[in-house]
Amino acid sequence: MTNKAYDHGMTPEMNHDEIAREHAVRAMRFHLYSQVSQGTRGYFTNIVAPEFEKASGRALKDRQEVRKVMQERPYVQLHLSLQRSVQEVMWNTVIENIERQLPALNQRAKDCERKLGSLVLDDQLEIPRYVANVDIHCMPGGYDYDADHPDSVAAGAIYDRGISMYQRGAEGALGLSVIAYLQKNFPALKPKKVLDIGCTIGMSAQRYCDAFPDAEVYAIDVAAPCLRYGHARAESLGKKIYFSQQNAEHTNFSDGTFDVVVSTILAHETSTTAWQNILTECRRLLKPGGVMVHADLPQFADIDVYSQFLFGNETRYNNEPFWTTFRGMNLKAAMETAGFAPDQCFVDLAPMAGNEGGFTNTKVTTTSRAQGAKTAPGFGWGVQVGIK
Amino acid sequence: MAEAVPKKKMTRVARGKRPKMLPDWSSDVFLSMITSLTTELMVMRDRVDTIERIAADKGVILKSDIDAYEFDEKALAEREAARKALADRIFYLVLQQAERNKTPKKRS
Repeated sequence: MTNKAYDHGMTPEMNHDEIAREHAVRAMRFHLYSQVSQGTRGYFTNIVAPEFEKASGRALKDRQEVRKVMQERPYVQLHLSLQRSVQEVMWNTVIENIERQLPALNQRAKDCERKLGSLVLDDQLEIPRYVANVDIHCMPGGYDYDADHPDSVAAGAIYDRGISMYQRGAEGALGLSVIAYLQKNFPALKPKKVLDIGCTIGMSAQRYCDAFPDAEVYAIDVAAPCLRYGHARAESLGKKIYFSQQNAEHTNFSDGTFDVVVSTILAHETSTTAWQNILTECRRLLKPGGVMVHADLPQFADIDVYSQFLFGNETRYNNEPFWTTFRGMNLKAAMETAGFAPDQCFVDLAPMAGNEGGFTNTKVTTTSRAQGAKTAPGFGWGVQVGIK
Repeated sequence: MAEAVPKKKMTRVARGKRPKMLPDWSSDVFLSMITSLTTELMVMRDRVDTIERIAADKGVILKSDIDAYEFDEKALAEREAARKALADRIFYLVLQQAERNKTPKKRS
C-alpha cells in the first residue's frame, strides 16, 4: 500500500494501520506547512511587520527582531507548539513500527548478500560529541542509536522511515540536485572516485552510482547503525557503494584520492569547528582539478528576514543546535582557510531536482520553484563549491 | 511472530529540554494530545474504510451484523489492548512527564 517504488530490502514491515498512520502523519505535516505556516507568514506580512514599521518608522532589520515581535503572539505560539508535537508524533509513529521488529531487521542486515560494495566498521572510532550528544531534529536516540542491540540498525531504520514521513520520494533528491549542479557546471567531469561524507544510510550516495556508472562510490559516516542499514539497503538495490565508518574531519584515505567529494545537509548538523576541519580534509582528499560540493539550506544572507526567523525556529524548537550558526557562517572564508584558492571557491544556489517514478528512473528534472520552496527557501540549495 | 531476542523498548524522547511554546506547559500538552488524536482518527477512518470496501466486495450487509456480533474473550482482550495503545499514543507527553515525576531527581 505504500509506494512500492521506494521500498528496498531493508524497508521495515508495515501493517495496515502503520501504513495508515504514516499517511496521517504526512497529511498533518502537509497541513501544517501549507495552511498553518502560511497563516503565520500572512500574519507577519499583513499585521506584525506593518505595525512595527508604523511604530518605529523602519522595517524589521534582522531575524532576532522578527522573533521578538512574533514570539509573543498567540497564533505564532500555537503554530510552534503544533509543529513540535507533529514532529514528535512522527517519531513516535516511526519508532512504534520499528520497535516490534528490530531484532528481525538487525538479522536482515546481517544476512544480506554482500556481492557489490563493502562495509568497514571501526568500533574504536570516537563518536564526535556533535553526533553522540544531540538528538538532531528530535530524532530520539540520535544518529548513533543502537537501542541497546548488538549489530544494530536502529538509527538507520528510524532515519529511513522518518524521511519517508517527511516526503515520500524525497529519498536521494538532494544527491540528484548536486549531480544536476555538477553536470551543468562541470560537464567535462568524468569522476573515477566519488566520496559522499556524512552519508547516513546512503540515499544520496546511490544516485552517484547511477549518474557516474564508471566511478567507484565511497560513503562515510561515524554512525554504525546507519552504515549497517545503508549497506544492506544498497546491496538490495543493486548499488555498489563502499561504506566505511570514519570521521570526515580526519579520514584514513590517502591524499588526492577523489575526483569529487560531496555532502548533503551535513554541514548544518555539524559544529562550526568540525566543519572547518572537514573542509580542510576535503581539500586534502581531492585530486588536482577535483571538485568539492556541499549542499545545504541556503545561507541566511540569501533569504529574507521572515524566512530567517522561520528557519531559526529549527534551532530553538527542533533540536538543530548548529543550524543557525552554520547559516550565518562566512563559507567562502572558511573554504579559503581550508586552503582553496580565492578564485577556486564560491557559494552558489543549486536548483532542487526531482526524480519522478522512483528508483528505476534516474532522469534528473528541475521542479518548479513552488515545489522546491517546500523543502528549501528561495529556489534551491545553497552549495559550497571548491576546486583544487 | 517469534523473535530471536525479547523485545526491548526503544526511546521515544529526544534528549534536551523540551521548549515551551504556549504560555504554560499544560497548554502545550493539550495541543500534543490533539495532534496525536487527529492522527489516530485518520488511522481509524482508514481502517473502517478498508473494512467497508472488503465487505462491499463480498456482498456483506454490515449494519445488522455489527449490532449482532458477539465477541469471545480473546477478541475482548485484543480490543482492550488496542484502546490502551491508543491512549498511550495520545497521552504520550503526559506519560513522559509522569515517568520523570516518578524519579524526583529528574524533575523538569
